[in-house]
Amino acid sequence: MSSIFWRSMGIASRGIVILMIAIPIVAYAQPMDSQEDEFVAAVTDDGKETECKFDDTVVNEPAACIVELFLEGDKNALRTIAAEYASKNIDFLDISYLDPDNTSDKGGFSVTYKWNAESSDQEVDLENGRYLMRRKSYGLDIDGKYAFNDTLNNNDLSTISAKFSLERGDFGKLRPIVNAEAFMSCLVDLQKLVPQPTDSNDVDGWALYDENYSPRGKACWTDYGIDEIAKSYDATYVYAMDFHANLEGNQDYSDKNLVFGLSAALAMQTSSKNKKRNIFDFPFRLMRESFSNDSSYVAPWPSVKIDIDSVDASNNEMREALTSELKFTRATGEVAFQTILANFKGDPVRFNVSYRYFYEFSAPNEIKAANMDSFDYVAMSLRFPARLIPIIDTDDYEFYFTYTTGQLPFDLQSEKAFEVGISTNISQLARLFGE
Amino acid sequence: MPWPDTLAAKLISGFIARRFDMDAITIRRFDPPMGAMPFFNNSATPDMRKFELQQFAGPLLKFLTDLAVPLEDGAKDDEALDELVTEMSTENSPSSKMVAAIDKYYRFQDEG
Repeated sequence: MSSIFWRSMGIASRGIVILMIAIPIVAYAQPMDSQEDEFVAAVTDDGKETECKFDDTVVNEPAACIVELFLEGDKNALRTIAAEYASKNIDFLDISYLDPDNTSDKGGFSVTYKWNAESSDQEVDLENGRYLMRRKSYGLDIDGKYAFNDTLNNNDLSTISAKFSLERGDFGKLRPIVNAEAFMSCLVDLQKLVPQPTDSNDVDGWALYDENYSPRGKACWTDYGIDEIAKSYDATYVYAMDFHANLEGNQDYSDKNLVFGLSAALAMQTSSKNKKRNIFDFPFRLMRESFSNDSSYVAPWPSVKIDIDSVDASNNEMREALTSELKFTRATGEVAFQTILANFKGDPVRFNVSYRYFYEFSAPNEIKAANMDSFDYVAMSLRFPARLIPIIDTDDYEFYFTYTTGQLPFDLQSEKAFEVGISTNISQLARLFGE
Repeated sequence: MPWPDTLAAKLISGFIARRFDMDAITIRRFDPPMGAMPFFNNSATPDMRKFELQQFAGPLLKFLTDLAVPLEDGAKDDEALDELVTEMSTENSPSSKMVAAIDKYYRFQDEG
């Protein structure tokens, strides 16, 4: 009965994604709300060029054009457009296209879903001169990733989790700014004098705005000493503990574990004064400072999270086939880090990474022999604004290269996969493809 | 759509620009998604990412407190922090939602 339930969840997920892909097609086949939005694309079909144009005046042909684009055009590009459009409009779903590095594996859509309900009792304490956060919360989280078309999915586990957590954060000493009122008046007066363009695509308008606003705006920040205050990092931290009960499984929950446990997490920010003590950022800081000698950026320390769990794998067929010891204790750790590698005139090149490790205490010999007593997994991403590539004449989005390797406990294969994508507003991307 | 032409937007974009060596006007003009913002760790698990986002959201609200920007009647700092982190956690959400979340809880000079 329970296996029917979990398999039906997988079928339901497929239905949702089919809808998500259909929505943008229908959306493009209808007049857009904004008169400024425009979709233009050209397709070559045996030497015949067809133009799909979508703006406030042409609304009759696009459906046929879109179908033709799907049949003859750059399908991966269109899939990306569809995925981005759906992701932008639905908060609990994120759709992307996976492209594995092994040619024998299939590429295809994947959907990341996330839903949570939470009740919390939180306070920010300003009384002792520090900006402190204390929080108690009870929550239910459902999240995971489902890959279609037999695409290799070596991303996150699917989990359903109930937890009680305690968090505390210290965001630094309060320092009332004496010139605050005058500083903000300066910005408000300038705002009235130099109004901001209302259209992101008004290139000339923004150039003129930049020319008129930038020097005077910067003067407001520096004349009242706010520039230095904003650039200065305090040493801050957030730590948390939680008690949780999880149901974790493979992507369609056909194999699953029931988990009870305790976790602890710590995230810390180095102060500007002590930024050189962050040895993890040392090579990145050298690189960053070689490109920009006035960088005020201070990288955080790596964040750490550790879980100790009691696991009941009575519904895990994979484990059952290997051993009769279906209850065990497991440790899970994650270390995450993010930094800026370089900065080109206000465009940061970002790098972030997460390493996860799973270890089973006193694992039986059968599990060790099957190499299932420990797993590790790495995801890393390099991201930079697309306008750093001169052939692309746009400032609209960020390119990213994501690399994942390793194995999570429910994966049957250990593989590597690259994911290359763009992070953007869909109307901007559609226009770019059109151009 | 760019970020709104408000004092809240100027303060938030200015703070981000100064922390991450970015250009405030570029942020306001292009309204990049949260996942493209420099405080967003795209590789981390959602739990870990939330802690890291608090590390940015907390100092941002402390900055507004240092500037003595008052809360709206009946609004609380903790609710502002909670909503800001929630908005920042959605990778494909436009970054201008940070302005909306903060504007909801704080009363800025240009609001009358």
